[in-house]
Amino acid sequence: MRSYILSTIIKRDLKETYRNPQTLIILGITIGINVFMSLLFGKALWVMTFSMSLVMVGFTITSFMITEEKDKLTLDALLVSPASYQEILFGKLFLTFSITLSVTFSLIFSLHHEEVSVLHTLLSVPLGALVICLFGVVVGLICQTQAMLSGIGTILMLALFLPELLASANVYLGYFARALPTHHVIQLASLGKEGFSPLILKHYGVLVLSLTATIFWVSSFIKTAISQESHKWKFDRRNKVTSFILLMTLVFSSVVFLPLKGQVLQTSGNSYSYQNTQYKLSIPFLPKKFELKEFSFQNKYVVKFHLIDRPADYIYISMQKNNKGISSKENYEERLLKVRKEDAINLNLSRSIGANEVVLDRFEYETQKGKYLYYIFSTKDFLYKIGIEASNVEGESYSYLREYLQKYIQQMTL
Amino acid sequence: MSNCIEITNFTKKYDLFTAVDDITLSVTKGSIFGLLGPNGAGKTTTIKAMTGRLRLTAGEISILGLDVTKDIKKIHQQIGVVSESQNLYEHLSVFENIDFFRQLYNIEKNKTDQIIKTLSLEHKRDNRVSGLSKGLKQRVLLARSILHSPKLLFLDEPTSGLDPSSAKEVLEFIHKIKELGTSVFLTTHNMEEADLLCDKIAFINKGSIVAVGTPKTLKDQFGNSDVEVTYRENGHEKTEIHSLEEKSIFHKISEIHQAHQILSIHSREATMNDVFLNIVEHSKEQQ
Repeated sequence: MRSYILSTIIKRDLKETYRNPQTLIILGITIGINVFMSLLFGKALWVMTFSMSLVMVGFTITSFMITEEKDKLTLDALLVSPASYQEILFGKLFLTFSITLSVTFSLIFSLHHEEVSVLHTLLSVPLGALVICLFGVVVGLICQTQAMLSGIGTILMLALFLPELLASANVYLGYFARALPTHHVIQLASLGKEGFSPLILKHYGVLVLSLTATIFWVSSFIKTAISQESHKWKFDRRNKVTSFILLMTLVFSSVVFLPLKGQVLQTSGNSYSYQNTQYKLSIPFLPKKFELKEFSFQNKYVVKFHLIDRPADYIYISMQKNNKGISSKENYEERLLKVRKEDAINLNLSRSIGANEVVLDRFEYETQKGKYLYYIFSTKDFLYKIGIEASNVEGESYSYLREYLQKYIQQMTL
Repeated sequence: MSNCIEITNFTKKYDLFTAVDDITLSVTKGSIFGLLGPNGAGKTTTIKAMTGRLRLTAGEISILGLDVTKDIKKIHQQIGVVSESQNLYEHLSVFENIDFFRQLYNIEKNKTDQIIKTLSLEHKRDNRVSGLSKGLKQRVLLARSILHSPKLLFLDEPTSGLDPSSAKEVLEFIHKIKELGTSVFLTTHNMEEADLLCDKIAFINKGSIVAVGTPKTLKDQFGNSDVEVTYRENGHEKTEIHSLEEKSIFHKISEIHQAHQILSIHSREATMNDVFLNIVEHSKEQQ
C-alpha cells in the first residue's frame, strides 16, 4: 500500500461524499432522525442511535461508494492507473470507517453521554464499525450497479439495523440481533460502567472473533473481485468457505449470549416457582393461572405474568441498571410527574428506606385505562420495579393480582 | 523499427463462447494502429486484454516489451487508456478530475494546468464535469490519459457519439500525439476516420483477424474502384457502373457515347467502407 495513492483516493472520496446528494441524504437521515427524536421525545433510544450510525453510515456509504465506481465505470479508469484494487478499496474503507466513527461518537456523546461508558464506547465502536464497514465492502463488490445495490443493499441494511430495535418484540429477532456486531457494541457501551467484568470481556471476545472472521471473508471477496472479469458476480469456492465460517461465527456469537431465561421449577407438591439465576430472582408461580413472557431491551430486563383468562392483566417485574445514576428522589419525582400527566385518581403513594440504603416507593392509582400498583426498589446501581397492570377497572382481576402480589411480595428474593 | 505491441496467438474464451480466437498482431512504435470490426467482433476484448483488464485464455501479449500477465502495473505507468464510456467523476471539476490522476501518477503539480491548456480546457477548468458536453468530456478524458506522457495510448471508439466538429478536434489531437512520438492503438466503427488516421489497420470479425495492412493496401486488395456513367436514353436518365478492373471499360464507355448523350462520368475510389463491407461479406461466405 502506497501512502500517496491512499491519501489521493481518500481525498477524492471525501469530496464525493460531501458533493454527492445520495451520501448526504444517508448522513442527513442518520443525524436528522436522532436529533429530531431528541427534540421531540427528549431523548432518542440509544439502541437506535448506535444501530443507525453504525449501519446506515458504515454499511450503506461503504457499499454505495464501491458500487458507484463500478456503475459509472470509473473503476475501469482507476484499474489502468498505478492504483491497485486493494489500494482503491482500502482508501474507501478508511474514509467510510472514519466517517462512521465521527458520526457515531458525535451522536452518542452528545445525546447519550449519561447512559454509556465512555471507555467502552471508545473501545467497542471502532471494532463494530470496522465489521459493519467490511460488510459494506463485500456488498459493494457483489453489486455491479446502483440499482442492484438499492435492492440488495436496502434489505441487508434493514437486516443489520432492525433486529436490534425489535429484539424485545420477538424471540427469533433476538437470536438474530445477538449475532450482529451492533448488539455487542451496544451491550459494551451500556454495560461498560461495570468496568471489565467477565460479561464485558465475553462481548469483546465475540466482537474480535467476528472481526477476524469478517476480515478473512472480505479478503476472499477482494481476491475474487480482482480475478473476475465479467460484470456478473460469480461466487467461487473460497467465498463459500469463508461465508460459511463467518456464518458459524455469527451463530456462535448469538448462542453464547442466549439470555439466561428464568425457569419454572416445582418446589414441592403443587408449589411452583419462577427463578432466574442471572438476576437472582425467585417468585412463586401458578402455571395454570399465568402465562410467562420475558424480554430485554436496552439495559432493562422484564418478566411478565399474564393471567391466562385475561391476558391484558398481568404482574410484572422489571430490572434496570441505573446507568444514569439517577437518585431515588429524582426517580420518584419523575414518576410522580408521569402519573399526574395521566390524570390519575385515587393516588396512593408511600416511601420507605430499607437496609443498604435501598429506597422503596409504592405507587397505586387509577386512570381511564386501568388500575396500577407498583413498588420500586432503587439503589444507585439498579432500579427494580414490581407491579400490576389491570385493564379491568371493575376490579375483578385487579383484586386477584393485588392480593397475589401483596401476599408474596414479602417472599420475593431480589 | 521495433514494436510497441506484440500479440501472439491470443485467445479469449468466456465459458463456451470464444470472443477472440487465436489472433497475432504487432504494432510499430510511433504509429497509429486501428482495429476495426463490426459490433461484438472482439475489439474491446482485445483492448481490455492488452491493458490487463482481462485474463488471457491462451497466447501472449507484450506491451512496450513487458508481459501483460506479469508486469501489468509497470505497463500501466507507461500507457494511457481512453475507454468507450465517458468514465469521469461527475461531481468533480475538470481540474479535480485530471489532478486526481496526476496525484495517482505522482507527477509534478503544474502538469495538470499544463495539460488543461494543451487541450484548450482553461475556460472550463473549474466547471463540474456533469455540466460539460460530450465533446468536452472526451477532451477531459484525453487530457487524463496523456497526463503522464504515456508511450502508448489506447483509444476505444474515441469519436463515438461526438458531433463532426468535436470528432475533428479529437482526430487532430490524436495526430498531434503521434507527432510527439506516442504510439496509438485505437478501435473505431468509423471507416473514414480510420482511413485518415491510421498507418496500419487490422479488421477483426467474430474474434478473428481477417485482414491487416495499410489503408492503401487494404483498399487495393478488398476495395472496388468504379466508373459511374450517366446518359440520356429516349428522354430518360440512366446510370451504369463499371469496375475499373474490367478490361473493356473504355470500349463500353465509347459505345454509350456513340449511342446516347453522356451526361456525366465519375470515378469512384475504393473506400474503407467498401473494404469493411467486402471483408464482412467475404468472411460470411467462408463460414
